[in-house]
Amino acid sequence: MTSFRRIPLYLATALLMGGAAQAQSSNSDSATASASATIVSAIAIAKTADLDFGEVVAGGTTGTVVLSTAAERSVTGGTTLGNAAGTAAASFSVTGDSDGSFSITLPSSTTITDGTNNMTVDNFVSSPAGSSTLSSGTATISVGATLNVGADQVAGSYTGTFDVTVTYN
Amino acid sequence: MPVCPRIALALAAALASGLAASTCASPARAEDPTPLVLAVNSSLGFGAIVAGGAAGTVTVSAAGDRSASGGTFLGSPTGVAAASFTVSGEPNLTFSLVLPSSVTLDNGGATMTVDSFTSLPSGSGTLGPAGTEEVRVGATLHVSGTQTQASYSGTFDLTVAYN
Repeated sequence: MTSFRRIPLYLATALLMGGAAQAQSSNSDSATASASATIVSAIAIAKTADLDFGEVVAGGTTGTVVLSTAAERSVTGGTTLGNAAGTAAASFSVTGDSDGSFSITLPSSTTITDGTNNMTVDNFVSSPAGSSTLSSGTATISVGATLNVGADQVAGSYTGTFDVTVTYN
Repeated sequence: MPVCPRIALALAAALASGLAASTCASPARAEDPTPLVLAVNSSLGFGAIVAGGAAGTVTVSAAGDRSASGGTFLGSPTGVAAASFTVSGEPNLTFSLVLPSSVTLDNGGATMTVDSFTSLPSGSGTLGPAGTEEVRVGATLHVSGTQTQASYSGTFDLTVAYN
């Protein structure tokens, strides 16, 4: 009988599986993947024009003045339009990442006052509406709303403020 | 009778030389598992990020969901994705996963650290009946408050082994 050293089973198995010498083990493997991130500028919004309903005439019954994003006025109920001078939709300038898409958040309502008497402004609308994209890193938003005029609303100059928020999405 | 009658002599020679360069005409036995192979399908993407003046992090989970913390804010989600790999081998065998502890992304100047790697499956996985299994990998990116605005990239390794 030929005399030979007993070879450990694991070594024999490895040689039988491996066949010719191989640089890597067939029981494991590695792979390399890429990872990436882009740091971009923050989104920012600045007002460029205030919202102005112009002159409004209150009637004996309640009514509204609707101001579109194109600064066109229309009335309902007992309210009629006075001089249009100064009528304007609000306007905002948005800046940020040149590829950034963003959502626009409008308030539900705000109150304007002459110091004593109030009126509610609601139904805010914007153009663009809902969301938009920064082309070359900028965008413009126009905002309109509805003014709720009381019956025999006291004459005077009413003012207030409202916020518009933009968020990358 | 052994299929390879001369194997004993070949092995003895291999042990002496330190090289295991012998070949054998033995057919593959049923219990030899198919070699384990790992391939990359797609890379890990953190998307657009805003450095908000204070240090923070952005995490992409192994499921591909992104979130931010601290002084870091999220920009456009375009490109956000967990990395995807395909493991191929013997059906129904299990394998272990080894992820790096951390890697660095750079833009040629500034750098950011990526760590806290996670995976689905986590720790180990099982090859399906067709002999494949997808592995998805997420991680956490550390962003300084004044991180330079640029595109950053880097690489990381995943290792799998039968267990």
